[in-house]
Amino acid sequence: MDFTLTAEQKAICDNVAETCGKFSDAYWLGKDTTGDFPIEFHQAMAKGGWLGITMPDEYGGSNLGLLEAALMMHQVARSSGAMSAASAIHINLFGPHPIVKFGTDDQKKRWLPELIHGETKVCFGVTESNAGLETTAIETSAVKTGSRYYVNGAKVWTSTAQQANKIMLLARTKPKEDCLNRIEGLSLFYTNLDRDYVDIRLIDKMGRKAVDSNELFIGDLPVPEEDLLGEEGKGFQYLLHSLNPERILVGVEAIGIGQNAIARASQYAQERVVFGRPIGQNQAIQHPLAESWMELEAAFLIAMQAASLYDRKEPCGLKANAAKYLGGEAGFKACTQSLMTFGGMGYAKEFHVERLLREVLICRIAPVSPQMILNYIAEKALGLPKSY
Amino acid sequence: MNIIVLIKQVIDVELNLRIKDGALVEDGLNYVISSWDETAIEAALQLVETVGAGEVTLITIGPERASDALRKGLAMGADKAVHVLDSAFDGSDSFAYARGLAKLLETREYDLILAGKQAQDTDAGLTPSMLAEFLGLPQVTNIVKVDQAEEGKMVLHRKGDHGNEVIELTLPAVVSVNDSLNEPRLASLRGIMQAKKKPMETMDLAAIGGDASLVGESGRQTKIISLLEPEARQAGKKFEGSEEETSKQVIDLLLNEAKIFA
Ligand SMILES: Cc1cc2nc3c(=O)[nH]c(=O)nc-3n(C[C@H](O)[C@H](O)[C@H](O)COP(=O)(O)OP(=O)(O)OC[C@H]3O[C@@H](n4cnc5c(N)ncnc54)[C@H](O)[C@@H]3O)c2cc1C
Repeated sequence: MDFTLTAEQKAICDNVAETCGKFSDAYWLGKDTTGDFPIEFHQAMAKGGWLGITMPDEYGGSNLGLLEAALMMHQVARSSGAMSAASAIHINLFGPHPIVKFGTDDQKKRWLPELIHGETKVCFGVTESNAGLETTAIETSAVKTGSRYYVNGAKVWTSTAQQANKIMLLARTKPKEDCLNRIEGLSLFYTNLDRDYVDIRLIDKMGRKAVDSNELFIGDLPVPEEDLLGEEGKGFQYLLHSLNPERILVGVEAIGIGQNAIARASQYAQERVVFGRPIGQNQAIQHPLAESWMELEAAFLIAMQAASLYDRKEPCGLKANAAKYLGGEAGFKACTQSLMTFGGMGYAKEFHVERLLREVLICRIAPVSPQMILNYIAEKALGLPKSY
Repeated sequence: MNIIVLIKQVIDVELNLRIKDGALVEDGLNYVISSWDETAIEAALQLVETVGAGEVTLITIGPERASDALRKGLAMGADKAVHVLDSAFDGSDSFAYARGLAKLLETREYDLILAGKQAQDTDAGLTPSMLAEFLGLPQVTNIVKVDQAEEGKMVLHRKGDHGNEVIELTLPAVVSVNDSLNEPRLASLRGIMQAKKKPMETMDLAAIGGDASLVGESGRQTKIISLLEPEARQAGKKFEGSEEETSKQVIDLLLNEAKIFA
């Protein structure tokens, strides 16, 4: 068991932190106010080659593992941009995974280079309001006529759809009644997000204003058969392959945000003097921050372990889910505690911790809720009856 | 144009530094390339790009961890690196470092030696000048602009007391840079991956032909007798009232308390 990073891994952390460091608190607070997409940040990351970190080198990527991607996203989320920075690029890392894994050479050639260069932006259309966490219950359908599918239905929460020109779309290609089991009959498409057939409506939400989330109403969207990934009907299985990486990334993102928050709180607690001494001299202020520090460190270790298992192609589901859960909870607690450390000032936008708190909540909710992770751990790690 | 860039790994001064029992608390510190040295690396890369030929070699004397700084410079685009790694250098001052660097450079070929005008940690700014002296080379400090660079000659702008001096310099020479010279590039992921394959030579004191009595504690010419925390800044004073009232108060303070015109 070796916990040291290689020189390259350290360099990745340092250089990502440095690139993100060029974007100030004021930049991100500005984006949080206007809701404008952080295009300058996205471009800087694309220019540095970071969007292709996990992509094959023959298409211009760097072919590194999930561990490196996790180190990178940890630094991104730890910067002032928090979830707005992370979500602006996150989808590039795990989103195209089904293309890398199940796409044909022609599809990879068509799609990967422009994703790596940041020229295409993709959104991820999985969640639907009538299905919720029960993904296999989605109703959006794709019906084939000739060499085309026609997609009808509605998606919800689709992030970055305002920016995206491509969508990774999960749709039913075989009616549920005709399927042998619940994971059958869904297909995965990577196709143009053609606004002539898709109505995209912004959801006004609590945080991460700069990175939009949307409702999508899809009417007769034509999808050429070349845009189907892998085999028809196997889309859900394909999706499962990118679930663990996504959980690990969201886990480390929450950890990064929490660490940023407690760093800000510790600094403030040293400077703010009340009753004749820095508030940070009081144990009631110190201890919760110390507790958060430990929880974040512990969650980070399990995330690194999960990533390393994944890279070695060993089963990592339990650890990946645990990392997402522990990271999300620890990050949330750290942000809450930091805000409380600032007292009234914590509620003021100019101190940024309230923004971190609003953003870190996403890591608890999505892509899977804490309750569902507990359900999964109870079933898979403890052998208890499946509860959902 | 073959360029040597001298770089130093320093403590990231943006973090909180603490001094305990006369020594810096090293726990939890972060190390970076001194920012002026990053400017020097950028300048070297740009020169080679402009001239269209040559290579950039990074040199540092420092502990094991200093190789991170070299690797970062390689990731930015430098071609190779030399790491002088020997505990004999522990406790060196600028003089002892300059002597070590001179020893190493005596046997090397180059057109130009670039360095930061000072290091971010000591702010001494002595090493390049001492090195130039040891090597018998001309030197220009504090450059803010490069006008021209060609075989054997450069035209530089140096920020002097009374404006920018335009200097024509014959090469080889030692040049130290001001950080307004350029905006150092960020290493790309590709650069980081390529850095892994670039040559990095590690040399000890014997390998550079150095003499242990001339470096480290025994080679230093200055001695730090104690290390103290800088005095805490006193709280500022706030003036309230109309413009007229407050300016009166300020002038009164400057005259009678600060006595700046006395
Ligand atoms: C900011 C943001 C961005 C998002 N971006 C995207 C995106 O880009 N693409 C995309 O496809 N989706 C996206 N999502 C959607 C996200 O993945 C879902 O919101 C998430 O999976 C939860 O689903 P739901 O909202 O339908 O919750 P529901 O399924 O309605 O669940 C509601 C609550 O009930 C609990 N619950 C349900 N069933 C059980 C059970 N059996 N046992 C215990 N508890 C249960 C859940 O834990 C949860 O607390 C995003 C969401 C947010 C908030």
